[in-house]
Amino acid sequence: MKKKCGIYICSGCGIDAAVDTQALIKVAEKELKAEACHVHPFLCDDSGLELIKSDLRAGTVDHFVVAACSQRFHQQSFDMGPEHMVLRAPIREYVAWMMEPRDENGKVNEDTQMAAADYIRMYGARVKRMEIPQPFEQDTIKSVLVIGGGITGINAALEVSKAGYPVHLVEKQAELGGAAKEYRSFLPQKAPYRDLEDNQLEELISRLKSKSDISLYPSSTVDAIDGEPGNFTVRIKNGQSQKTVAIGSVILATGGKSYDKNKLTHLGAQFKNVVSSDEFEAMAKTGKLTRQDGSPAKTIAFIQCAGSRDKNHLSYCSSTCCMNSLKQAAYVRQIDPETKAYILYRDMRTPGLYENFYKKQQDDPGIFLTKGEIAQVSEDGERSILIDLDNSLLGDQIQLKADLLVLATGQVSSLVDEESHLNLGYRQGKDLPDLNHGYPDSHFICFPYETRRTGIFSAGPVRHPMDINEAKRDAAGAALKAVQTLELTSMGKSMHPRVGDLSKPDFYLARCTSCKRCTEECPFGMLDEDEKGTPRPNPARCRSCGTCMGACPERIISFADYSIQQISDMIKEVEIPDEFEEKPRILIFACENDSLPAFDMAALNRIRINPYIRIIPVRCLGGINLVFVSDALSVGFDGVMFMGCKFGDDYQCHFVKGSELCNERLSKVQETISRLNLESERIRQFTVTLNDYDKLPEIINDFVTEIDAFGPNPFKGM
Amino acid sequence: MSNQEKKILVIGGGISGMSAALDASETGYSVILIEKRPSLGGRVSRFHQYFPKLCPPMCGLEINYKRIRPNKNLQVLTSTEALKISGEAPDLKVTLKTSPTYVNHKCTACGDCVDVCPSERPDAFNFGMNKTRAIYLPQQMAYPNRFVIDRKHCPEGCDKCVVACNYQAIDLNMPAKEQEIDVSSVILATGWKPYDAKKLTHLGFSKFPNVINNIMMERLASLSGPTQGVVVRPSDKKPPKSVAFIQCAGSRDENHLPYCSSICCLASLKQISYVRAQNPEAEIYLFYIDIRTPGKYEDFAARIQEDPKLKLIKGKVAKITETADGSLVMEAEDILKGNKVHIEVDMAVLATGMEPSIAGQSFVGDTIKLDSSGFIQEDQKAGIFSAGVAKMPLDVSSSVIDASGAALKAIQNLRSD
Amino acid sequence: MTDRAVINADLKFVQGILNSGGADLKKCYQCSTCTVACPLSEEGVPFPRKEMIYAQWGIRDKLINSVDSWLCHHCNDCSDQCPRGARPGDVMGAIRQMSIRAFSKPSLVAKAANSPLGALLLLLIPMLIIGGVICFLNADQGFDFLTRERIIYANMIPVIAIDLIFMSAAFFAVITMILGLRGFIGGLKKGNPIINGGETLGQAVTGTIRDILSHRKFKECGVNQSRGTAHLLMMYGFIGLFITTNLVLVIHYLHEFGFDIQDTPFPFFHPVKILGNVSALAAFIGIFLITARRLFNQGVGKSSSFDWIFIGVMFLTVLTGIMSQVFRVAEFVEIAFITYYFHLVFVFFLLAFAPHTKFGHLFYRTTAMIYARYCGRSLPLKQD
Repeated sequence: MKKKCGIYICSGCGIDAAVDTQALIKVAEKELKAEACHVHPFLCDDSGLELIKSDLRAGTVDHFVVAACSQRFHQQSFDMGPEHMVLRAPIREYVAWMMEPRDENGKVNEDTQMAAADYIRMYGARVKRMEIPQPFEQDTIKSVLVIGGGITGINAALEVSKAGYPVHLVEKQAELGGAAKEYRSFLPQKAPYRDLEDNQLEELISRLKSKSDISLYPSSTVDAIDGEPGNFTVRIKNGQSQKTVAIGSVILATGGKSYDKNKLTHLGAQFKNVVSSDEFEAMAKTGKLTRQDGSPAKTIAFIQCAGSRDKNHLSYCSSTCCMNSLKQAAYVRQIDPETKAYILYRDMRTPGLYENFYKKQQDDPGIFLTKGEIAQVSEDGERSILIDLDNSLLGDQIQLKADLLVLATGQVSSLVDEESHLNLGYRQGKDLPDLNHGYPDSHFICFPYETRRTGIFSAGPVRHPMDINEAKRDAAGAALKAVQTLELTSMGKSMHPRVGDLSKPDFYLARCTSCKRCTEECPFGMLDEDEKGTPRPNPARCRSCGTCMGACPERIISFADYSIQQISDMIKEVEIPDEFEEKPRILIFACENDSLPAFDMAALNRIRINPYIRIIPVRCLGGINLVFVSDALSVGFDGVMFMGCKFGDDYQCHFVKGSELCNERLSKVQETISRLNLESERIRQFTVTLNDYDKLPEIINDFVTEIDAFGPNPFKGM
Repeated sequence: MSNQEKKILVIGGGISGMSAALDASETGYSVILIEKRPSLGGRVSRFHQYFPKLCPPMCGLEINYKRIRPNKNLQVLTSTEALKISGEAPDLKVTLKTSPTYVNHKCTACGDCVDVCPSERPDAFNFGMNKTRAIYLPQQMAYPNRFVIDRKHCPEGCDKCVVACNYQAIDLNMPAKEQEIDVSSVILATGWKPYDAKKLTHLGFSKFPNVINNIMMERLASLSGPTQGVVVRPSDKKPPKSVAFIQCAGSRDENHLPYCSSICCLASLKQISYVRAQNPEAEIYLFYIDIRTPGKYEDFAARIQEDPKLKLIKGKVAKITETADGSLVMEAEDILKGNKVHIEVDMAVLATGMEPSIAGQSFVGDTIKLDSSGFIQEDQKAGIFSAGVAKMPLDVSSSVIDASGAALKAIQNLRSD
Repeated sequence: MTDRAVINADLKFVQGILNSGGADLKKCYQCSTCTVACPLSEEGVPFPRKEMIYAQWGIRDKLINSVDSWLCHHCNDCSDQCPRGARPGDVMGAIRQMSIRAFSKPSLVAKAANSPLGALLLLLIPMLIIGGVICFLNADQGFDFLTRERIIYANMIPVIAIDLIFMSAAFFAVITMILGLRGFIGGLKKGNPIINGGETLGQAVTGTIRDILSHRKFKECGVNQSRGTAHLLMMYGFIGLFITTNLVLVIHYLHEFGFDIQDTPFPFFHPVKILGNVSALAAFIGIFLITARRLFNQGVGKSSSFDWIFIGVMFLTVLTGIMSQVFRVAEFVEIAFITYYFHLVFVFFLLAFAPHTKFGHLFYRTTAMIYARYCGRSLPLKQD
């Protein structure tokens, strides 16, 4: 259906002081043949909005270009309802606030005017191609699968159930409770965080069992998970029997495990009277603290960071061991007030209100603490352990003797060296992709629950070293996300970060060559494959980033409101002057999460920018298709800049892999460009964060200077 | 009432409050988010970078703002505080007071008003290290992106901004507004404030200009800060050649904050990277009691500690004195060596801890139970939940996790009948 | 064998310190604020942070032989600033107490002298001796000193008897003190080897005496400035009283041997009398200030029975001394004699058990201060 396009240009906020808006109207009318074109001095005000709405009511216009401020202003004001596309051409920020204004005589600057006109053309052309996205519809099964019946899993199940959604809880052991089964006591869990709590597992399990909407699957494992958020099919295996259930989202709570004590021979793990903290916990539960020969242990030493903070073992800190050893030292003193506990630490880590527990344990005269580096652990006959400590608070080189040595072993994710707990039937593998240390990949600062598998959330020690209290909090958060998945998916809406986005990629499979790039590259494993390797989309797994669109060499993947055609049209609409010496043109693709707002910030600060740039926003650099490069070069752009987030271990890409994939693609195309006798430096990716807005002019000018040296794009004007 | 009609009120528009409000509203519930300052963003909007990725908090804020802007389940009221919470869940009544900002929704953030404003005020956002005009944008990444007026600093009878504004956005007679709203759940995400370093009398904060706190350091390093991101020492505006970071400035101290603030070690390590990135010659001293960098943060800490220009000294700086040229002498015991040290540096950063900011707010009264340190206790009366640092010292990531959990509990409360 | 120092935590010793005024010891988390706060602490091997960890682990040898614990003048600047409330100043006091207890001979007396019950038992000794002597001397005269025209204390117990009793007490004190100090010096030598830069013994002694007379170490204190004044008053008061007592002795015997000199009791404006009364007043004000501060000032620190017994006996000694004179002048006959009797009892206690009670700090601290200078541990104060 043909779009009826209206172009509304605001002349306020200094736009009129920089560009001739009447001339822009002419561009809209003559070149774009827009159905309606208006200039208004205050478009976001009621009168301006009324101008747009009256055209809408009259049926003159159904798609809109608002050439005014950026999307970051008045988004809801310019919302014309779900049936109508509104595109924002930010000529206030990109042009009026960052380029040369009219001179004292009121004459507009030619370059500024050209930029504004180009943006009208670009957005006008694009809006005509845009369609209203139709939500993906499926029968959403509003229940949650929890894998793992330890503290995290039990809490997650209870939280989900309390929110009103049925739960299926799978636990591989016959008994629920996981590691907490062995705990003599729990850590303090309420202000003032001084006293140990009884093991509350039984009460927790009985609460769980009393819930009719929680189905328990003990002695079971998950054999397969197929489908997509809102509609997963799970095969649960119990011995020889199998059961299939349908669920909508997954919480993976398979917990952690202790680092293998036996690897710690440098700490005496091979000696008789050396135990791990797990072994000690079990011993304390019996109420008797003994050496291996059964004689009472009267001096018990704890070595902290046993395997943690150690490049040869776990480089990270296991977070929980300091509190755990303080807890176990308390056991020592509860069981026998004559027994001494030594805690040998590197740094005592009892963050937050846990400091109060540290204080309480410190106060016990029988708990002796010192910082120090373990130089050596040796055996003194059969019955004692000698610990050599360097740089201790008690002296440079000291030796301690203990009847029993407890190694405060660190935590490892249950995803390390174990059979898959998820068995996802995903083309990209059975598990959550990990980043380092075997912990699932996530953007863990701002959006800690965003794994690379939509609708599947990890919680508890499986995803980060943590104790019971943290695991409980984590379980509640993951439960929210699991529930949120059900609700958003049921409306066909995307999850974070494009929450609410209805657009999902369309595949024109008739032209698919089964090259599998899209199925391999999707950061979220959205695409499975059939036998021939043709992609089989699972729209509810999609986060709408467009990485598949960027990957496809056949350009058969598009979104209703975001497609290769739309972007190519934008590229082609830019008027390229023939005379390079005066007017080079640089195309910038800017990631709309971080780089694009950086332009807004620059504009807000009225930072003057090179007038030869034209900016095209993309959802993520992952959506950059190499055809954009050839389009840009063939229409005569002299250089193309790709601005996006940092990639690598400390990636900042909200779609995890987007900027990295773009970089890979560009490095490939650069070879091709060289073969065409064109300088590959004309095509370059830049990391630009919101913090870099002041550097934008310099980054761009440096690039333009380089391009100047190369001379004009030889394809210009061809 | 249907679930959609029952509302959740989130008090506090920092990262925890925003996250909780977004999570609940995106799950389909109606949420009102109030923030007493004129912009959302809270403490994180003052940070230059986050540990451990050294990425800009503005980026996370922008994503959150991006989620807020089109969100029709979420109503944001800035410059608004809660005065009173009464009733019993699910029928809680909350009295809200919105203070006038003297700039209405018509503001386009064009800035014409600033050019004509004749008066200045110390910029509290930058800890008073610079000045703004009396009409100002609360912060670079403001939400709503709208100017506000600090009327205390308006000259008598001045209406220059009103005249300059083309959009009738300024109303110098804007009244304060009080309203009572009905909600079913309340999430308290009132966050924290930096501990007042003036109370650490031996460390010379506010007496010696080159002793700053860690939030000031964030502002100095930040592009939107008073020095456009150049870390300089305040007395002579020169880049410091040596900087001391003093951990547990107020935290883990019975005379000040008896708890550990959890984040200061990482914050200082992060700030060390700011200084070192700008000044390859700068010597850094980090005085600590215990370095607390749990979990994966240890990898980050280890990376920073590899810097040969960084010296870690176990021992608390108990005394700072000033030399004639404004430099500072740190006095501590280097415990692992067993001798006293007197180290002269250009600048000292006090890693001041987090103090919960809920104490003293009028709605607390007998309604909200606080622990002895002023944090919100876990168990509150039905319908009232807490999130983030209002509850305990947490980093950003843990605050966001906690906020999601709080959102769930608020939702559970709505559904429980 | 290892050349490492073998550490064995001593729970009993820790409990000893906890019960001897160092009750908050365990709160220390080794930040060393105390060391910086301390105005007397050295640069090279400062205190009291290291003493705190030794004490937490009950490392007896390191503590009782420590010279550093004696360099501390208990001003509590450290305790005031301690972020954990561990009160290092008080712990240092407890360590000194443990040290005195460890070296005092016979140890049974030392133990008794510092427990409330034991002190009462020990007090019985002078009560019985002096009471016995008085009875023995006066029984046949029917205690007529009570009915004589003037109150003359010598009538109750002649100077020669007092001298004999107190000479024996002093002899006991000197012997036990020598025994104690011998062990103590041995310990000091073991714990604090002589390093380069030490003073000669002569320099060390004169330097120390100068330090003590001027009280200048006290003057470095921040929070408890007034403490130095109180201690100074008390110290000079006691020195004055000591001189007075000896002058009285000399005058008495000169008189006895026929010199034309006025014997006791002296008139009010007699120079010796004035010295005695001024000294008593100074001592009284000093002890009063010290007691009041310990009772009412939170910042001073917790006091153990070790402190209280010493302070109490001091207080009572001065009080009974003053009151003996007051009652004598006021002619409250019975009360005057009883008060004087108790005055003698307390003086005896103070004298005989000086090495075992906190009074012993007079010898131990002086010895430690001399040794610190001698071994090179104690560097000159900043203003030197």
